[in-house]
This record gives sequence, C-alpha cells and structure tokens, in this order.
Amino acid sequence: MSSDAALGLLRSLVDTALDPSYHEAAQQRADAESPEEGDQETRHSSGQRPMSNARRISTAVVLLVAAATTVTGAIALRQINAGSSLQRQELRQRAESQVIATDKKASTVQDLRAEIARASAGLGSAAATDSAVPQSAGLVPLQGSGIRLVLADAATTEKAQRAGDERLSRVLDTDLQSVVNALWAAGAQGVAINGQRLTSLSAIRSAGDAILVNYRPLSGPYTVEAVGPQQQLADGLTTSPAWADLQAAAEAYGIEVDQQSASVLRLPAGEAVLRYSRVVKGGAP
Amino acid sequence: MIAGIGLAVGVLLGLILRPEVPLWFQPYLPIAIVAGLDALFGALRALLDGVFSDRVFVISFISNVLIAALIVFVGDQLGVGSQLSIGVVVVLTIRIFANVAAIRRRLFHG
Repeated sequence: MSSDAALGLLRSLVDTALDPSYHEAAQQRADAESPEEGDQETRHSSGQRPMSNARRISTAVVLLVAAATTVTGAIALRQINAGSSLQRQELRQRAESQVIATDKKASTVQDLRAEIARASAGLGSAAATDSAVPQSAGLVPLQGSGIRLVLADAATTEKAQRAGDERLSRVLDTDLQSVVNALWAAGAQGVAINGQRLTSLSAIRSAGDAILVNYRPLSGPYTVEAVGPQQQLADGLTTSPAWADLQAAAEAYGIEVDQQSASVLRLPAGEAVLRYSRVVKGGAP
Repeated sequence: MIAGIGLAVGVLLGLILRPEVPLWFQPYLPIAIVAGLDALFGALRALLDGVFSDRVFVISFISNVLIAALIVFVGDQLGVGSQLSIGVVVVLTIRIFANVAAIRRRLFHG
C-alpha cells in the first residue's frame, strides 16, 4: 500500500513536470482568439502541433549552446573551487561572523545582568553587586597590577618529532591549566587567557588543535594575565611544580615561555550561567 | 531578438561586475539554481509543445527560486535544513528529468 502511495507520488511528479499553468494560459489564449469554438479539440491540436524542420534545428542549436554554457560554467567553477582557498576563506568568514554574533549576545547577557543587578539593588533584595563575591567569581571587570605570562608553541617541531610526538611542541591545555592553578594558588584575584576571563565555571581543555577556554577556541601565543600582588604572584608561580614542568617542556621541546610584571592589566568580565545556585541576600562570605 | 540581446548584456554585466553572492544567501544558492533550471526546462518543453507563455514562465521561474530558497531557509531555522534540501532537490530533479525526456521525444521522434 505504501509502495502504491509512493508510485502515485512519483507519477504525479512526472505528470505535473510541465507547469500546468502553461496549458491553462494556452487554453485561455485559445478561448480569447475563438470564443465560439473553444472546444477541447483546439487545445489538443495546438498541444501536438507538428514542428517544422527549421524550428527543430534551431531548437537543437539553442539546446547545444545552453549545454555548452552549462558545461563551461561548471568547469570554470571547478577551477575556482580547486584552490579551495576561497571556500576556506568563506568558511572562516562565516565562523568569524558567528563568533562576533556570539560576542554580541554575550555582551547583551552582560547588559541584562547589569540591569538585573540594578533592579534587584533597587528592591534591596540582593546586595551582592558590590561585595567581593562577583569579584572573586570573575563576573565583573577587574583592573590592577599583576603579571603577564606568554606561552607560545615551539618554532620548530624537530625536537618533538625526535621525541616521537609532534603535539609536544605545542602548548597543551594541561600546561595552561597548571599555570592558572599555580596563579590562583599564589593569590591571583583574577585571571584571563587571551582576553577570556576565567570564572569559577570556566574550563580549559583542548579540542583538536585548539584550546577552548570558556568554550571559545583560542590559538597561540597564549597570554595569561593575572591581577594580584606582583611579587607574591611571581614567587608563587616560579616555585610551583607547574613552572618546573613548563621549564622542562621549554628545554626539551622548545616551547617559549615569557613572564613579566605588568603595572596595569584590564581583565574583562567573565560569563557564568548559574543554573541552580542563586546569590543570597547580603551574600558576601 | 530582444531576448538574445538581453542575454548577451546579462552575461557581459556578470563578467564585468562579478557580483558577489552575499554570505547569508550562499547556503540557499545551489537550491535556487536547481529550481531555476527546473523552470527553464519546463519553459523549453512548453515552447516545444506550443503552449509557451512568457508570463507563466517569469512567474514560475521567480516563484520556484524563491520557494525553494525559502523552504531550505525555514528548514535551517527548524534544524532540518539538509533533509528538506534533499527533498527539494529530489522533486526538482525528477521534474527536470521528465521534462528533458519530453523535450528529447519532441526533438527526435516528433
């Protein structure tokens, strides 16, 4: 039964392949020309009108030209696409525009959050906006002195290839994780990687060749900025096991590590979507 | 004659201006082209059948292209864009085949 239905569908497709309105228009024209004798015969005879040889030849020529145009067009398109750099560029543009759209949405979220904060402050319910909680959660922008750490992939992959894994010449997500953890442990008040502020809900992980921070793909060199007491941060970092690991990686595979103090760092606000928890009244711990 | 001049002018304009398809329209362009081809072959068959009407052709061409692009667009919004485009392509392709078969019969056995 279902095959009957499918056959019917196919048949109707083939039967109506020629837009029925062509016949309707022809019928109307025939009616207009001879309103008295507008019977079925004229329609059929006009539909099956024999063609003169000249007309057939000219139609065949038109068809040939159309076919030639289509084929040359297709070949030209193939040549354009063969480089595929154009396509890649277009894909990249599309991805970039999507990222911009995401950023816009994120800033809308920020605005709305600020509005909510203002509104709830007006109600006197949640007074946590100027407490330390949003600050340490990384939800508001932070400015101050601190240190800046730049990690870059090795310039050549030779050493890593000799060691058997080309990936080792790159900065790994675990490198960034351990550095960031060391910075937190050393007393950082806020940390951002390539402008992505880390919140308590941020994840640093790798996906393919990219490192995702806040689900945003980053590419090297990775700039880790930490706001906090400079000396304490520097000391805490350089005495941490993470630093020793980094130095070892730099030695063995050529990863570049550069650390310097910065007098003014501006960290953007991070985003954190709270699903279950809420800011309590007078919420500073 | 006028149509031929128009075609030549159009091709020349395309070659000189090289218009770029806007990025947001690119996913819908292939479907729109297939729909346009369908309308074109339908018109050719109508011409051979002796029932061609320029008004019907223009309307069917534009509405075919718009509806095909619209279906895929709506499908994209609903998350079934690729399935819907397969459906559209299948239907249009069957129609093109039927029309081309009719044209061939007309030309070689008529």
